[in-house]
Amino acid sequence: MTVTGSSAATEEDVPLAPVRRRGFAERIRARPGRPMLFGFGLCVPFFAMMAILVAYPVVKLVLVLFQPPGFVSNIRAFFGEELNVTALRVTLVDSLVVTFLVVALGSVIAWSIVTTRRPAVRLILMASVAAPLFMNQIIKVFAFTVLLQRYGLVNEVLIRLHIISQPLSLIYNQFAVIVGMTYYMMPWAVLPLYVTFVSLDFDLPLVAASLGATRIRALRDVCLPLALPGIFATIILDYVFCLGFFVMPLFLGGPSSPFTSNVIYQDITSFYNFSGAAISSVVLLVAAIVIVTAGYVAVGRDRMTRALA
Amino acid sequence: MSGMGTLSASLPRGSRRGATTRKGILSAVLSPAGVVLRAVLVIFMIAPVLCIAVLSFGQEQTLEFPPQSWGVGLYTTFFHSGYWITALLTSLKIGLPAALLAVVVGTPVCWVLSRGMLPFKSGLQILALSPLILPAIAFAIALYGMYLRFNVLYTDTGLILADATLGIPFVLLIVKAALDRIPAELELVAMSLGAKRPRAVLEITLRLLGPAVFASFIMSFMVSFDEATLVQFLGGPGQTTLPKAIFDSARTGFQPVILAIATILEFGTGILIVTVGKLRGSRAVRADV
Repeated sequence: MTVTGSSAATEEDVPLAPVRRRGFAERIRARPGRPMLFGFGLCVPFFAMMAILVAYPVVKLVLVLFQPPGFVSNIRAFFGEELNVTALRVTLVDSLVVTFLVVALGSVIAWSIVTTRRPAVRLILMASVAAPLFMNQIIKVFAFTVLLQRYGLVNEVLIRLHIISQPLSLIYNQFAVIVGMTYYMMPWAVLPLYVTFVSLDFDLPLVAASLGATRIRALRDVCLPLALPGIFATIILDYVFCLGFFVMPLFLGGPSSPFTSNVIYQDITSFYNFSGAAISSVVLLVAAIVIVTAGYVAVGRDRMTRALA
Repeated sequence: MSGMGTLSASLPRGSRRGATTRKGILSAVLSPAGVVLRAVLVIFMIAPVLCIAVLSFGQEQTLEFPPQSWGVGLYTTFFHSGYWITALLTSLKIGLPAALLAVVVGTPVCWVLSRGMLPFKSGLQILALSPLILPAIAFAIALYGMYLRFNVLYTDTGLILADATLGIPFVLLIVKAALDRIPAELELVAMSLGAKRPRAVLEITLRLLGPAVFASFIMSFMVSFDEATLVQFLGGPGQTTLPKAIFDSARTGFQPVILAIATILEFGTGILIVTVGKLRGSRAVRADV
């Protein structure tokens, strides 16, 4: 098969071999040469580690579900306990709220970082986004305790500004947990969103503008659809992170709205109820896997890894 | 949707300037709101850090702001305390080997993913990144069950292994990205100049990879240092890392010296983050396509 240019003659016709992707079976059948074995050998410690430390424990954990009295009745017992259901609901819903907040606010910041023209503004925004990373989880808990407690900073400021007359109860409830988690997750939202926005082609909104769009319309109808896969990948990533939170709900939350992780902690430390803890963990794990798989299917592997980097 | 003035003002410098657009009513309302929102967000992000730092120079016994008396008493308490210094050393004792293990195990995988010819590369990548999506608590419980059975619970080794597993995804991301940007042809050039293959690999590619490997080491260390969930379940009295020590003391009542520790950690973490950023180069600014 040769390629000929237009009728305006090229110097020579370049012969091209037909190109096709090597099929899966072909690649397996191809003799594993030394390079491939060497590559496999390089990965052996990794495989060993993942098998022993991730695969095996998780499988063992899932097997707990199947112990007597049996899978169905274990599941039924789990969902029969009101505490478990409440905790699961709180975990799923609060994580959703936090994810939504963090992606919405984070995209404002990320968009500003990408589009601002003043390097000072960019520096301030990036430094403020990096701030949560400077603090240990528990220190964040302390900081928010200071800020949100009855006579803490936020209440003081609000009272001095005469916005309220009595201090608000801002801590040891879901509000504090959500605020704390939003703070924690901000860098994890802004960074992937930044990567998404930075790879947008900014000539396109100008094209839209030249065709008569207002600024809002150009951004909404041109930039937003292009950024949507990256935003979606960020949402998936952050939601799964939020499901696993442990320290913040424990200290900032109230007794009436525990996270599943707190119920698990209680199960292990107070009740020595390992099977209950295991079932809760598996439920969380399944939720995480389902969500990530949905994300992979919807968005594609490249987007997800790019979002992580 | 934010930006001030014309559409070109809300687009980065590289795009063509001068194009103006009709400004809708919505954007006239949103612009000042956008500025306010961003100011509020910046304050929100920075306030907790400043709060802790300011409080650490107070002498109060309670978490009241602003403190009535000032001084560096909390810092001297920290440096003279056996308990907290031991906790810090324990964190180092666990974190450094964990980071080292993550780097040693993860770098070959990055090499294979970037240069190799194995058939299941995407699966390998997913596997390597899986600790990131594993809820920490589920991982902790899973390991708890297994460690209990194999008598590794409440040991240093167990915790180090667990933290190393957490660090592998970060090694993968950082080192693989760097390796992708080092052209494989450089080794061929070296070999054409007379070097044998191992020497070419060692002195050219690995040397170029050095900063990324070091950055991922720091990142894995930070992940392990910050880790508060695993250590709660897998660590016993001999593994009282700094987060665990703070966690334990927080349950019995507030100790002001924690503020001093926190500020020192903030400072140290800040230095580490800046180092990581410098080591990775200005990659965050370039579009990674």
